[in-house]
Amino acid sequence: MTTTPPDPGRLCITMCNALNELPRLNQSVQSFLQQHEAPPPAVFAANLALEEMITNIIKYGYDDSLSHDIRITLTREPGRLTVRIEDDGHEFNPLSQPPPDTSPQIEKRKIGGLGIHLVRRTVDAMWYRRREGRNLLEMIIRLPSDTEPAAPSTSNAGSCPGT
Amino acid sequence: MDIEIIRKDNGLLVNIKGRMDALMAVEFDRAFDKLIQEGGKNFVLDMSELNYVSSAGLRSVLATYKKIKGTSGKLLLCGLGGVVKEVFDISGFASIFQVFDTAEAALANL
Repeated sequence: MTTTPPDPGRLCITMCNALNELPRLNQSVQSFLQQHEAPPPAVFAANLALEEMITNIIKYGYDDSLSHDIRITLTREPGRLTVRIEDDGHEFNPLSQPPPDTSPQIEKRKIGGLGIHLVRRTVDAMWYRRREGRNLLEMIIRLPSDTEPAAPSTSNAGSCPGT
Repeated sequence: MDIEIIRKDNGLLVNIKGRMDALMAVEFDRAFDKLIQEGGKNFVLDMSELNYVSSAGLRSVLATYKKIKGTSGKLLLCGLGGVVKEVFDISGFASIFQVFDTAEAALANL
């Protein structure tokens, strides 16, 4: 896993499609969010969005056993945090997935299938597009205005060098 | 995630602490499989010190519930708060499990 700090308001991480990369990803994200004084609900939303979407990519995105890069960018701007995930797995639009079974009868509940639902309910906005054989997913988490950075970032959310 | 197991007169109180993510859910499954294998039947799962849970965690709790049910045992939950409660509410899990405020209340209902 590589981490590039191109500017203080942005965290760029490239990880490979292996679940054991998750703790290191989590650590980098945690310290970035802490540094930017993100409030606990935003930290939770970012952690959940990353875990759910990346485990989906790792588990279902590939047919081969090769190593693939998954690129993650977190951008902190006034009033919002953008989480962007880019992968070269199968075309998969989380926004087109039907809602999961949320029937109250425990015996009938299927195991799993809830991750996307949880993320859609936790983040404030989500965009997906397929471009040049890659999935691009962007999720916006609104931040309360009192935690905005003093100097607004001029960055264009989401892109890192080399992406 | 830490898993603390406390033996009570009428069952086992399992206190899970920290993060219950995709990796830790595997530890959770392993711990419960062992407890069930050793004859554990009635359980209270205390989540008051859990500060993160994802769908992998939910999946493990539901799978564990089904295993325990298969032995005619019980799994009651307690101590859901903050983001953990939020995840249980969004997923509908809060209404499918028997959830109590405290471990004492849950143990009294085992």
